[in-house]
Amino acid sequence: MRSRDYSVDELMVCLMSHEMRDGEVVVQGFSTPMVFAAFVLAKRTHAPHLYFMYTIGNSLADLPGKVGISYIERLTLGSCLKKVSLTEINCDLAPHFRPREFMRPAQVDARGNFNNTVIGSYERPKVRLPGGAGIPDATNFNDHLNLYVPRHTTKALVEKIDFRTGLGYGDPAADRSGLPVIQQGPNLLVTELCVFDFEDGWARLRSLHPGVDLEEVTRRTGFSFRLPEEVKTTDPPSAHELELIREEIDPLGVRRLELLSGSERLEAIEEILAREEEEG
Amino acid sequence: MESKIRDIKTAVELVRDGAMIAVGGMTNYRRPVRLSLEIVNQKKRHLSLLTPSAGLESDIMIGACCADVIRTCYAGLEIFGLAPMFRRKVEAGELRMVEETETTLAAGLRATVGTLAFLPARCMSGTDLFRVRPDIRKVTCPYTGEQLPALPAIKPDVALIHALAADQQGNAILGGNHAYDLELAQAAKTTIISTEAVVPHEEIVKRGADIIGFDVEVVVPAKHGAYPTSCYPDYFLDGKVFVEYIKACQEDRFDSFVRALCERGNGEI
Repeated sequence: MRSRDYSVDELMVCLMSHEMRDGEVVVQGFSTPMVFAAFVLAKRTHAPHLYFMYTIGNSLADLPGKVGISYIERLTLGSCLKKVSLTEINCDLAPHFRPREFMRPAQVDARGNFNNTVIGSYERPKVRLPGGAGIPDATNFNDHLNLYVPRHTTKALVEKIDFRTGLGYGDPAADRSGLPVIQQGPNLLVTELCVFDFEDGWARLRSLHPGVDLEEVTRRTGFSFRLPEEVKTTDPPSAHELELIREEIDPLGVRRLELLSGSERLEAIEEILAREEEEG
Repeated sequence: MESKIRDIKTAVELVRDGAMIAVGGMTNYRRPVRLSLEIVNQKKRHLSLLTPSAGLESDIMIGACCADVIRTCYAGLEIFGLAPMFRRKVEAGELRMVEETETTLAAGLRATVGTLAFLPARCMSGTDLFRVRPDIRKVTCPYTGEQLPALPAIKPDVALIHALAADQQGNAILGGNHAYDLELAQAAKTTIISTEAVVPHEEIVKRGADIIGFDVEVVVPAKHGAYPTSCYPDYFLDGKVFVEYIKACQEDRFDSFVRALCERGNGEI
């Protein structure tokens, strides 16, 4: 397959899907359709015994569904395995399962610490973001965390984050051994250009996506990162994966909303809603 | 026992200016929209809004200047985008955010229900949360010596919760997506339930209650009371209204949007 036969959202969905292991629990937070598409893809390919923990729906489920906006409860409630409450999910089930999770930070540094709270000062922010939700919790106990950034820019991958909502590998100046934290920071940072892992708690380029060169990643990354002995090329999606994503898992393209902003995004939402209304 | 059923106006008159209001449901699902619009109608002021996620209903109360403080871990319209009035007011310094996490809220409510002053949990450490929440102290675990956050009990004055069905005594069915509603009803001094339908007690027994009447002071019949958020399985969220809301806020038509949404009530979607 030629490199232009797939889009970056499809590639990222496949990369996230490959991180999921059969039999484990995966959790979805708010507004992350790419992650949802990745769960379903994993379930339908290499991990048929995956459990889904749905924050939206407050349920545990093991049936694959379709990505959508309007009718999501048909799946998360209408065909779930067990209904729980959000307090149970947060206080009991998340620490118990330590589920595989993908979080999308507004800013992330080379040590995998990240920000979803404010851009600018906390007291008088330039942009007030929605807030940390379960991030300050999960980064204290969950060792199955990964990060993803659909728009790889120097504004998102920064030398210094404005607020630390999520603990990554901490701060070299402050030893994290004193903290009551039982995990070691995110495993991977997946972006539209490449994949980073973390070596001794510092971002290291693991692979470049097909067609992307090192110069572009360096230019669009605000922090310095390490290089391995050999920079690999990311495996492209298979024809089977692409067919599943496009035809069955997310035919409406809800995942693409994560790449859009402003009026373009609102228009895309309106299109999806109209198609959902048509199809019922 | 006397019926707890009241009309929406009488029910919301129980909310005093300056009260801490717990808002049930989560993001775009089973939110007490009709009760929130009545808060706006009655021009309540200086409220603190407490909720696991502040959605359209909270954004409307914020935009209508009902609240000075928001106590949550997430304010947004989920897939539809940022919550416009929340964002505007915080950035202008007109709304104070008490930064919570999913766990600090859940543990704080559980502490109240269990008559404790705090509960410890694994959260916040190594983040900037302690800097902006100096009120949260630490406690040393007597078994391991770990320094854990001691999450203070949260005691809302009034909880607003929307149900699928309830009887006259406030025994209520929520369906799914319970969010923090059970704990909100238990922890609040006064709980107001709005409900799609008032049904005989026998029907609640048959289907099984999620909230029991012991924790409920008032029941308000409110057909489509969560609209345009969902009330599964009775109705799904109406995404078009969320898009309309975002556009209205961008174009400075917040007031007319809210007026139109109020008029759309009375059982009609």
